[in-house]
Amino acid sequence: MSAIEQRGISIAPEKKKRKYYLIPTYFAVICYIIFLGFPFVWMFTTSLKSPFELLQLDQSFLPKSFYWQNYQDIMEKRGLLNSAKNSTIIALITTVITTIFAVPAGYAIARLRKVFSGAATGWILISQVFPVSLVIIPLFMAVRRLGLLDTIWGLILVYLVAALPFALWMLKGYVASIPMDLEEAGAMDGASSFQILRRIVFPLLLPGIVATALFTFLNSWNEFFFALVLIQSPENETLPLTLARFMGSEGQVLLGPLAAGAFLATIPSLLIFGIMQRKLASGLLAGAVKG
Amino acid sequence: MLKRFKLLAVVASVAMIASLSIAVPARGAGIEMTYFTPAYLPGTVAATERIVADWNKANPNSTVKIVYGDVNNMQDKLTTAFAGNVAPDIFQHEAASILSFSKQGYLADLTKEMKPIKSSIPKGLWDVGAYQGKLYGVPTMTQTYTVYANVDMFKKAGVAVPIGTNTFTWDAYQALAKKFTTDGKYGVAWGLRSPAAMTMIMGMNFNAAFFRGLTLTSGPKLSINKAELEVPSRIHAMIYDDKSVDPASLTMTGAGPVPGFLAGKYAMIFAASYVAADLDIAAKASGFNWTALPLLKGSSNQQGANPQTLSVSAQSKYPKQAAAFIRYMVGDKNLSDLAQGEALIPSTSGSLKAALASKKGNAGWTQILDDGSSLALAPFTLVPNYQKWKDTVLQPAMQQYIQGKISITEMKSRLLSGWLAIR
Repeated sequence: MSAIEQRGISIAPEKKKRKYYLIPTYFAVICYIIFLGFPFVWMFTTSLKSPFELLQLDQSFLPKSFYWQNYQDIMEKRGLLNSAKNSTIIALITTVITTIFAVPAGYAIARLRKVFSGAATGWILISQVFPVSLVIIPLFMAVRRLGLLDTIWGLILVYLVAALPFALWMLKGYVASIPMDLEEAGAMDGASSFQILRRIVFPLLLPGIVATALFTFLNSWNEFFFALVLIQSPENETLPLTLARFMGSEGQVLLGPLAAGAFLATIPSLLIFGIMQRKLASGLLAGAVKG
Repeated sequence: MLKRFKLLAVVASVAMIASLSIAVPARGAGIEMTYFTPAYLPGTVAATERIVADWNKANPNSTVKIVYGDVNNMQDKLTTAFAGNVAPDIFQHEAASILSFSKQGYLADLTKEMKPIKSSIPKGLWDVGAYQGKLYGVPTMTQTYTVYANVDMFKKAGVAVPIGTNTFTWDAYQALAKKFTTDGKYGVAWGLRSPAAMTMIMGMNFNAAFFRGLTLTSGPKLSINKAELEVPSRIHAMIYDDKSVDPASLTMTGAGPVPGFLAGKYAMIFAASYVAADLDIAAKASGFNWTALPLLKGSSNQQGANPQTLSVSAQSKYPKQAAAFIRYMVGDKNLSDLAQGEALIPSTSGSLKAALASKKGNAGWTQILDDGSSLALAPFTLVPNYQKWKDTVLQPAMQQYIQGKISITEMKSRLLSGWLAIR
């Protein structure tokens, strides 16, 4: 028996009130989840339909019979698992290295003197204005000269170059939003610079770091054009390249295998989001200023 | 300490020997060529792998490695590969797109190497793969645009299915479409989301040349007269005057109307020959009774050819072996298997016979394979900047005309001014 009940305080009306209040909220959340998740579920059911069923005018939500051949084909004949492995390695390494470089650099740009900060942000902006079609051939030559053509390391290098400016830009904004007063208060309490960074800045910056890491991961995971140009061998292909090969000219498409491949390709991104969104939320709650 | 050092030395030596034995190829090892192909349909992929495996078994000193590409990005991939001097030894592409590579000297001259097979390829197709009299792309397979009919619907309506090459006219087609437009049903569905290539190819039915005066020293002039406007205006009339084309199909891809066709929504669809692969699936699964009608005829039934081609990169270190592989690939059975996988028409006479033999008794396929003889060199395939004009000017203007947003005069004016701006 709880202490509240021992004291004879009834809490039933409050509980009921809370439940009624929650019903529309939960209903709205469930509707929203269905709205967001429906394309994903539709993709899954499509992946289980036979070629003939996919040619029907009226498509049912559930397959008439489960056609697992699409999954077998993409695994055995199209090398999807190997592509998924390559994409995972490339996206993870790119994300980790980008974050390692972008966090201190973003902090430096946000906190250092305005002249340096302005020059650095200007340089970042300039690096973003060139269209991909303009840089692709020089980039291709450079990667080739480095002996990294048709390697996942070449692709990682290119993705790092592409991701770092924007990651810096994002993190600079997050750092700037942390009040300097907090760092000064820490310093007055006797904390060293490292302690200030580790105990005050880093926890407050965590949502920004997570958001930047997610952004970098997804960009690397989905990137197509650089991979198309720089990767030659089937064993080094990434997922977007493998998935593109289920589509032909004039709108032809192998819908069953494409849906199966796209479904499997979405799962790692969802997992990464699932794991990291907790950090995103917990970081947002780690407020330092009361009242 | 010394013991540990010795152990480390032994381990390091073993590792070094092992790595050397992996890195250094065995003496007398042969060459490996790369074959870059956009094959993606299961039948073509299986045929390609079978052919390459057979070749590698028979030629252990000059093996081939398949590299699959994305058909929608072949041009970008090849452009950067040529610029970076890492082009594949052999590659499959389409005739109209290899022209720019031929002009830039990126392709090996295959004229002599392909002399043994020249007589088996129709002249119209051979010419499409050539530039300035030299062959740079061996034509392998091609598609036609044709009308497919639901035979059961024809029978039910008591309408005879048109037969006989060079007899099925545009007028007869329009009349049939009108006949089947009853009870809220449209006679025909036509996936016209990207009408540019189709209208150029079908234009040859009415001797539409579009480009005239192309010489070695000067570019061609675009002229658009009655012949060039005949196909678009007939399509327009079927949509808006006869109202026999399902307007919903205007924004569909070429294969988009197939589900409606299978469901008996239309008696006919107009599409490229590759659609036959889907119709075959339905015929096997549900007994769907389809056929391909004879090629449409205006003043002739000729269609412009833009075949798939096999080329050898000028950067290849093994041009002779690469050419030998192409000759092997276009062998009768090999090319027949490849073409059937894509539902395309094989280009050599021997492979066409092999394909006909394997599709014996299938009226639709027999008609499609027979249509190969009506393919001819379309002038636009030889025009520099045609692709750019097609993508940026012709496609949007044609879309707007077909969707009833601009007049035919406006479309003509846009095509002409667009060409002047591009060239």
